Amino acid sequence: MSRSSLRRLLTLPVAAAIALIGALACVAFILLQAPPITASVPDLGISGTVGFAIFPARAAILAPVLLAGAASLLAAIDIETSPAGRVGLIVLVAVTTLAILALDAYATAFFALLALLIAVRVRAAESFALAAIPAIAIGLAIADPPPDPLLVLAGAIAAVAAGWRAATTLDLARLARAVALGFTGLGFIAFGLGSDGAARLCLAANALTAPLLAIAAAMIFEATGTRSLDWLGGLARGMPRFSLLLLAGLGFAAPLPPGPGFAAFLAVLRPAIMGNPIGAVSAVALALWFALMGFAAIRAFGLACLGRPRSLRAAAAEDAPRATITAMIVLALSGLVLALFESAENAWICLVLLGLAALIRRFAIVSGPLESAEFGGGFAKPPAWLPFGDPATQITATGFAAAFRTAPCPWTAKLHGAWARLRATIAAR
Amino acid sequence: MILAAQFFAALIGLAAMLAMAFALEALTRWIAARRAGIAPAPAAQIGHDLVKLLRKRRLRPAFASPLYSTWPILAFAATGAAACILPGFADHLITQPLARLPLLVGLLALGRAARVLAALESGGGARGRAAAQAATGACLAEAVWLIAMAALAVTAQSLSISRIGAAAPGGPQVLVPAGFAALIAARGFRDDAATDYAGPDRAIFIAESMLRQVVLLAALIDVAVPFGMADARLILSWPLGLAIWIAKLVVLLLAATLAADIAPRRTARLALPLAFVALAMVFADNFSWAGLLIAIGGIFVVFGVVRLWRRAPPLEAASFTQAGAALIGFGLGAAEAGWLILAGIVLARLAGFLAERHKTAFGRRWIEAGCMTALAGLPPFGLFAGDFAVLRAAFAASLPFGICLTLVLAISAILLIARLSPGAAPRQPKHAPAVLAAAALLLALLVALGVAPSLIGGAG
Repeated sequence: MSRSSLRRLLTLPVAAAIALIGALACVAFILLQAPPITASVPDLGISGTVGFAIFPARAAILAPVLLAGAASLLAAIDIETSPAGRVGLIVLVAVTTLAILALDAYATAFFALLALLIAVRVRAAESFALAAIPAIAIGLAIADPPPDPLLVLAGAIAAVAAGWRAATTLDLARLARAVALGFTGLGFIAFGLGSDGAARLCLAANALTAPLLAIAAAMIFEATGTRSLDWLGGLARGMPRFSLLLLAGLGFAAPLPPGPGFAAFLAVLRPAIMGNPIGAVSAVALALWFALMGFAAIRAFGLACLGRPRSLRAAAAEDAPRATITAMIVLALSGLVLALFESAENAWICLVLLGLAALIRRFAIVSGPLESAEFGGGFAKPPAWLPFGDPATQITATGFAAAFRTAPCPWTAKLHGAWARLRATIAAR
Repeated sequence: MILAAQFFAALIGLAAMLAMAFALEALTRWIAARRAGIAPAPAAQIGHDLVKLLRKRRLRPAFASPLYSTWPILAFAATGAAACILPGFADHLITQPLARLPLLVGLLALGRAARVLAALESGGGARGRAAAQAATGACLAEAVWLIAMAALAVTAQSLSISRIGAAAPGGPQVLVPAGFAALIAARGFRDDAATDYAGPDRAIFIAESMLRQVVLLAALIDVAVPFGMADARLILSWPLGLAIWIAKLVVLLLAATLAADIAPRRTARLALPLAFVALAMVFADNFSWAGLLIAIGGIFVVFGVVRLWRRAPPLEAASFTQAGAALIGFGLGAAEAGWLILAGIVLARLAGFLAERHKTAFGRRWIEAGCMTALAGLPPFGLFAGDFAVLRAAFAASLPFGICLTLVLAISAILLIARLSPGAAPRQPKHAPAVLAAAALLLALLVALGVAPSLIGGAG
């Protein structure tokens, strides 16, 4: 094979198409309940042969990961410009697929560590890594040890920590990471409670949600030069299509019905209430995660996309390019399909919501709105060089999460101060 | 045939929810007007206002996004869907498979998200702050509802609302803390972030708020007091079920309004610990009511003294101390003394509430002094008789416990009396004879309880 044809084969759209076809093949595999397919490569690995296999349970993990891969590859057309980064992303998708399909522990660990290494080194790979690493981690957990209360506790701690992180962070990329951590925690809870199906649903929800948010964070950085919520605002005016898709992603993460996150939440809550103290601990963690993620999603969308822009770059942002929008559409649509397919409650509620919305729209909303000057909240009129009003008169993301950022009572404030000093000391070293 | 009955029962239930949304809103406004001392508007005013708003021109602020008109529709659809899935007056509706607790909380969260995002649309400063507060409050409310209802769901082994209600799960030691936690936290769902909407959009938000009140009350009724529900498959049971359901809604609304008056400030903070208590109770073996009551009572007494020491509002803090004494009384078997103290707290707090609301009323300070003396547990008020009986029971149970309780109650009384400063008299006292008479009557009742505790069964 000549060098130029290899280069053509490795272009991002081709790779994305291959990943998409792989994902569709996996879905077909699950729907048709096909018999397992195995393949082995001799003379490799610790036992003299390396085996790969696909069966419905693995296909259920692989399909959303490959979808996330396709979306990440598509988005990289706009976001990642260095050839090395592009190749790294393609290799990461391939290696992750191999890690999920590998039969013995040695091969899985080999490919998993390779994937981790690439994910750490290649910046463009972040959105896909958020889907891949939890899938490999829980895929390994499902493959080997039996359900364990310790896994539930670890998952519970991860879920609550992720919720807290998401509710307080200012950085959209960190929010995406917190979403991935939260779904991973949910997956561990489900697996620890002995419900493999719920764990797989968590992984699928994660693979369709966290990459969507990571792509959105990268796109916002491209468009505005910052990912900090304190410098964004009003993006829905300049980036309407992008904002709608970001809203879908945050709604999945919130997790609001009818989304895949809510389907995963329901699926994990069912084994959690089956009457043992470990289940009760996980129910508490699930409740806190649900509430905190809901708050975090509202905060992120409200401050990034609604209101007035807080910086000039945010005011002048233009809608995302076509490839990124396509990638986000792929993820959002497959998330919706997964949610409606996996949970009958979600499907019915979606119907009821749509019906009520159509009814109220038909009978209550009869005319288009008239643009009016808004009430300035009693602040002085802004000067001419601040065409969007004074940004300082609008609430910031820091202030929005004040209840979670300030200490509830004096002695915890002292504790918090001591912790901050300790961290500063360590950072100074 | 049965399917048709279930379907029609669901339709009737939905219509009843909508009608009760109007009725309860009218009742709420009537109570608010009577309290403010103005003539209440006729009930039909709500409908007139909504119709008028629906006919008005829609406005959108300059910085609103293209999603601006989505939020009211989304909020109403979410709350309406919650109303659709809830079993109202009847069980076994056609929507029963959807009547799940997490789905209900999810829909409430969806409506909340739409309301908060609507408030953030215009980029106003004060509106953003209100939105942040509403989002934080609802975050707590969601967590509390999910934890409290998980406690009930664990004992019922099901997430279905009707199964949980029918099972009356885990006995009162789970249901009582879980119910109170959910009731206290429900206020978090009631917060309406102020929005910049006008005309029909505003009408939709107002209608949604009315519907949400009924949905919250109906959910609490379904879980905590599900008696007297009709069966959707038996048409003859519908009228009685409907009547009982309406009566329960009205009683719960009145009780919640009254409780909001006499409950201490920041009661909302109690919701999360209460929910945890409910969940812990599910797994508590060898459970003893007496031990639990004494333990909670002790916590209340100490908490009240600490609040008094930190110069919290005196009537509230002293109520905590006295309520703790009452709980200890219940735990020690002196139930009459406990009821006497609780009755005394309610009377004194109501009198104090009247005095506080009429700041310029003539004689207000006398009433306040009376309330504080009463809550300090001093004669001649009824609380003294109750405290006396509780202390006697405590000494009978164990000498050190009796001494400790006496000391703590004495410290509380001293702190309270020390706060009894005369303060500045109102410059132009107004004569409010009705208020004064009502408050004086309450205090007189308290004195009567102190002079003759045998009125409500004696105190030991």
